[in-house]
Amino acid sequence: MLKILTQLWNSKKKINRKARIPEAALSESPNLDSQLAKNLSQIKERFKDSVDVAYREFSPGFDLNKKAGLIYIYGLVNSELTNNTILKPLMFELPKNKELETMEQGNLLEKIKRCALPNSNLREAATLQDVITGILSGDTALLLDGFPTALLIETKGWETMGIKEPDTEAVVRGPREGFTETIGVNTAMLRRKIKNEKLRLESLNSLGRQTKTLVYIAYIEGIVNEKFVTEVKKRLQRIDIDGILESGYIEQLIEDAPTSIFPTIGNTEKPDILASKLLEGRVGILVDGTPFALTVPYLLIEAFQSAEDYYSRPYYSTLIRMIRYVALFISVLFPALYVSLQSFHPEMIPTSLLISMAGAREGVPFPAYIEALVMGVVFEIMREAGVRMPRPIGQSVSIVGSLVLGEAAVRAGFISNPMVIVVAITAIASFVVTPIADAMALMRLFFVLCASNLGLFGVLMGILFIDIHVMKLRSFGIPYLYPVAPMNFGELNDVFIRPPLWSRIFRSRLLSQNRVRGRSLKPSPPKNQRNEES
Amino acid sequence: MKGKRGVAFLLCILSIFLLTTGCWDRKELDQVAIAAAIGIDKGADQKIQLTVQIIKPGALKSPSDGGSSGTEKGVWIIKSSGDTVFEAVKNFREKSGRQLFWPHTKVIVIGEKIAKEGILPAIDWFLRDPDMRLRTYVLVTQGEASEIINGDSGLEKIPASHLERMIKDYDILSKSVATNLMDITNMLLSHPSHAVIGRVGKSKSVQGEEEVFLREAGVFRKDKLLGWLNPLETRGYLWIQNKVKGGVIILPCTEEPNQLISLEILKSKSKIIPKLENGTLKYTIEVDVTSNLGEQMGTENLINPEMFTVLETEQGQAVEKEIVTLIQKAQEDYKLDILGLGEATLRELPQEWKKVKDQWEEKFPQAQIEVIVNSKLLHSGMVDSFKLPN
Amino acid sequence: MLIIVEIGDKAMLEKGKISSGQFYFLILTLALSVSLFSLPSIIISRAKQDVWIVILIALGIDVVVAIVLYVLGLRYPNQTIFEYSQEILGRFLGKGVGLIFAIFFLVMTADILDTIITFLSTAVMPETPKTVFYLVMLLVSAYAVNAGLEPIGRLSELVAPLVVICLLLSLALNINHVKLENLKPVFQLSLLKDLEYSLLPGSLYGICIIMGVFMAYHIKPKDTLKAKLGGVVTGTLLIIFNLLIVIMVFGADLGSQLRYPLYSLAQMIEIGDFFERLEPMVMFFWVAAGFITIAMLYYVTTIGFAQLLNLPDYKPLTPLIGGAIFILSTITFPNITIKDAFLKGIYPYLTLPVEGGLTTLLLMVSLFKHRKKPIWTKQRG
Repeated sequence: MLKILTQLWNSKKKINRKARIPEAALSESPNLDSQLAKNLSQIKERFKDSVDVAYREFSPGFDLNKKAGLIYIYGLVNSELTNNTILKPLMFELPKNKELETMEQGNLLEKIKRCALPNSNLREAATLQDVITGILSGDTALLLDGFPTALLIETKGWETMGIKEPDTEAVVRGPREGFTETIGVNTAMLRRKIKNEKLRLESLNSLGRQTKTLVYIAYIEGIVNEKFVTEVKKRLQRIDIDGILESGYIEQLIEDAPTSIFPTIGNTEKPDILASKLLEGRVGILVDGTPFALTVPYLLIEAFQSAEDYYSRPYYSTLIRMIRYVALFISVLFPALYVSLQSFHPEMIPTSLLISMAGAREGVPFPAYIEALVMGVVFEIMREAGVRMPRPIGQSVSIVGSLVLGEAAVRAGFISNPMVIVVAITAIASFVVTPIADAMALMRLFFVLCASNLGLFGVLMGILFIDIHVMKLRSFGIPYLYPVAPMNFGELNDVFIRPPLWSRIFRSRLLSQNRVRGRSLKPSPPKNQRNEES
Repeated sequence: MKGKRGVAFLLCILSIFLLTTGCWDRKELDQVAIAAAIGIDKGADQKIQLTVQIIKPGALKSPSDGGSSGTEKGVWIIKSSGDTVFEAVKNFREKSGRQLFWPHTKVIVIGEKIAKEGILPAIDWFLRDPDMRLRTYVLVTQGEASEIINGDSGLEKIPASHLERMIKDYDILSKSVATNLMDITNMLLSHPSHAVIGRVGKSKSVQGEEEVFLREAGVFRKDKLLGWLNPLETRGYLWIQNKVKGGVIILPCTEEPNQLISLEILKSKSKIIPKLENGTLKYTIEVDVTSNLGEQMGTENLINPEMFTVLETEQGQAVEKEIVTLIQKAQEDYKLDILGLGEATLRELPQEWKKVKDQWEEKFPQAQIEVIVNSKLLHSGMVDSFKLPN
Repeated sequence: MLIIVEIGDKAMLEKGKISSGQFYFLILTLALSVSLFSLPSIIISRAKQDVWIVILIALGIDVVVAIVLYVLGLRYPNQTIFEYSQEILGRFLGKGVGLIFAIFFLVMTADILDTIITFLSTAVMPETPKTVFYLVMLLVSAYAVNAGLEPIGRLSELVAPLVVICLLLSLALNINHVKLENLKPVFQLSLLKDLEYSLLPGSLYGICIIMGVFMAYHIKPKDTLKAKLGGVVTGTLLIIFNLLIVIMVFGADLGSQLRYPLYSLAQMIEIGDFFERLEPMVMFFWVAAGFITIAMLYYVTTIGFAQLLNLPDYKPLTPLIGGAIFILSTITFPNITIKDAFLKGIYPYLTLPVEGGLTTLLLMVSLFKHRKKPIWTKQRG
């Protein structure tokens, strides 16, 4: 025990020491060159192969030998604006301007700026970084051969119509937008969250022999562990199937443990969650036609970390996180423990409780484990019915199912009262940890079977079996239970509690190459604040 | 390949679970009879007779829930007999129809006849069976144990729970001893000391209802009942055993001897100190008593330092008298080391103990015992003494 | 050089590595689970209030063995005890010694499995046939063995702290039953008796020669000794505390009559008049610890036989070894008294020569034969 404490202490110290090492200052940005080709290639270099960046090279109407380039990001700009306020005037309207012929070279840009661009907001940018920042915020950059300055024309405009709050992953506090079915809109939503040219959106050959579905992978260069990217690409290229209709197809074709009940690939419907996963060093996979994006590698603890934890203050979030673990425990083990306690180890139940349980069981025809299995199955039926029905009907289905049926079954003496309570608690708890809800439902039945034969010993053996199984799992090379097993004390702080943001200095060692998240200090008010009052 | 093996393995385990749905240790709650108390007697035919209180869960349901009305008894009492305890236990199946479930047994009552013949044979099964707990209380009774098990409670639906609460709170009165299976086995196994077990009895109340009470204690030589201690002697025993937690000490007023004063014992502490002086063993029993003034029947002014000192001395003497009475009874009447002197010697002077070990039976009655009582009085309650106007 | 690399490659039946923490917890689990079940009753009935002296002597025996194995492990890095015994004694003799070790581990697995199952069917579920327990336990541990060393290590990292907490709780919750005077008298045994009685716990802790295998898979072999001693010392201290509490609560007389005194200790727990009889929970954690021990011994046996037979993969052997364990554990002890007599009489004299004798012999020969070999050889790859 002492050893653990000292280890914990040492790891704390190490983190603090590392935190004081100053990060290298931001590399200064070079100025633009006067040659268009060079500028373009430099910008392309910065964006690498991101598919959502558009490069449009053209010649303005007044001089067909002159070269110009437009750079913008699909989805962030309103293409109508780009066409009408930039391309159209430059290509068709400017040549009609007679003054142009008398214009000197040096003033060409000024001239264009003044009379050819019917756009209300327009800036000049001289450095590469300014241009890129502008492009990322939704402007269109206009580069003209021979000028070391770029024009940033405001063409912001993005899809807002089809975006609605997703049904899964609802939040009380936090962004309410969810991905749409169109991949172009989704990439733009992601770009708006992460305005950084290092966010790479790479396209792979369209997947699916017949469907030719667009699949992008997203990651942040410099944060992501390059191994994941190559591995994801490798696995995606191996896919050979007639159609990809949902990201679930891809998930099942590239996952590490197809025979396991545990998911080794995560999915999300929300851009902010995807952004936060990318910031941790994960790789995202976007598929056209579905709002669900995949994230890899997926660790089990992610099921217990909700994005909202980080949006609200740490104390309540910590409590909620603990409750999620309790809910997992209840949802998976409660019926099994009930069965094994009441059928195998009634000596553990306090006498008064035992008497009332025995009273409730008088006259119930089935043994407890049959009751538990039947109720478990009935619960799944009601859940499924409630989900598939249109919402108003679904509600009445669940009311009829839970209230009327349960009450009647108890009255008729088919099912004992405590079992209804157990199943109800279990059912509610199973909605708390949604990402692995299906694995939990399977485990629940498995444990009831274990308990029905061997009591607590059976449950123990079941737990050990599942434990070993989970410990064997890896997601893209990362142990599934990391950082709990293998234990990493330094990273345990984000597992059971939700640490304050200013103390989350590092990213996970296994996930990311660049471990420093940021170095904000613990906020404190200025010392002389009081003086202002008097 | 790897995956296939995993699946095969899973199926293998699952099928074992499904196919072997034997019901080895499974007992459904509606198939067991929960025993609450058990009495052990020896019948006239020299057979072991067991009487057991079985809880009727149906009778304990609240009436709104389809349960019976409040008048029905919460327990069912059945008897069984056999040559051994185990056989008698198994013979319950002749009548019970359900498997008896023992872990929630609160009390074991041993009848006088068995107690006189030896209790070890009677409790062996309770120690050996994994279902029984070592903390089950064991009491002896004068007469038949079945009488006690048959006894009713005016308050609780399960008489055994009533009894259990009385036993748990024995040290509030300190008139009897609470002994569980572990204590008894310990007392029987340790060489020098002998067992003292609480006594439970039954009497008729004013209304003619039966009442079960816990008072006095039985003294055992090895595992055989020898005689009884009265309530004051029992408290003497508890003082020495460091088991007094509460109780009342009655003293006469100094000025008006026919009026009495009650002192409420708050806490006490005692230890036995063996000493070797000139080759002979001497014992000092040191008892600390702290109490409050609980009641005063006379009108004398007691609430001053002088009177408190006097009362403290008197309290000390009263306690000493109780202890000395017990010591005399142990040394002269029973000639049995129920005080734990031998054990104290064994722990403190192991070398000396080896010498006297074999003649301890003869040596104990001659042992010199000194009793020191440190007595203390703390509070006097909400009022001072009342002086009636002349 | 080439040859060494080849041996090294062949040795890597297990690709996983375990960390110092996992090593510590594995040894702790082993030390706890060999002493939770049958040891307390025997040792209390023999040594009474002197149990702690006896266990401390046993700890001493184990420390010596640990140092011997540590030096051996450093001299032959990345090799298990089965491999370096071949390198030290030559192919033929070395295989013989390796076989003795492998059989030793096999017998130990069967013995501990039997101990745990006997406990289960005596104290917890008397009506269930023992065979069911054997089969379920062996099946799940075979799954663990095939999963490899890493999952077993990680499992121990999760389970061992829980077992420790459970033991500490059963200490803490019994504080109100404690009678300090029960601890006296001490020093009632002669030194010779102390030594004699410490042979049994010593030989049980001696199963920790499992480190001769694990050390080859340790990330930092240099830290092995620290982790191993840490584990055994923590384990023995916990056991000593628990035994002392048993004596304080039950007294030495009753304590020596109880078959599973630590389990009975858990029976005494009562939390606030409501929660009583928590011993099935105790059973839960004990059997979990026992399971990990079985899994690691089973694993070591399997890997030992695989290395002796020069197999490229140990997994095909798992069912065979499992069958052997099943047969051994079911037929060896027909009833409980024979098992007791075996533990008390023969067991230490059968196992100590392997645990202490053979290992020391290996070290002697190695020091003599490979005189020039430095004590510490740098770790390869």
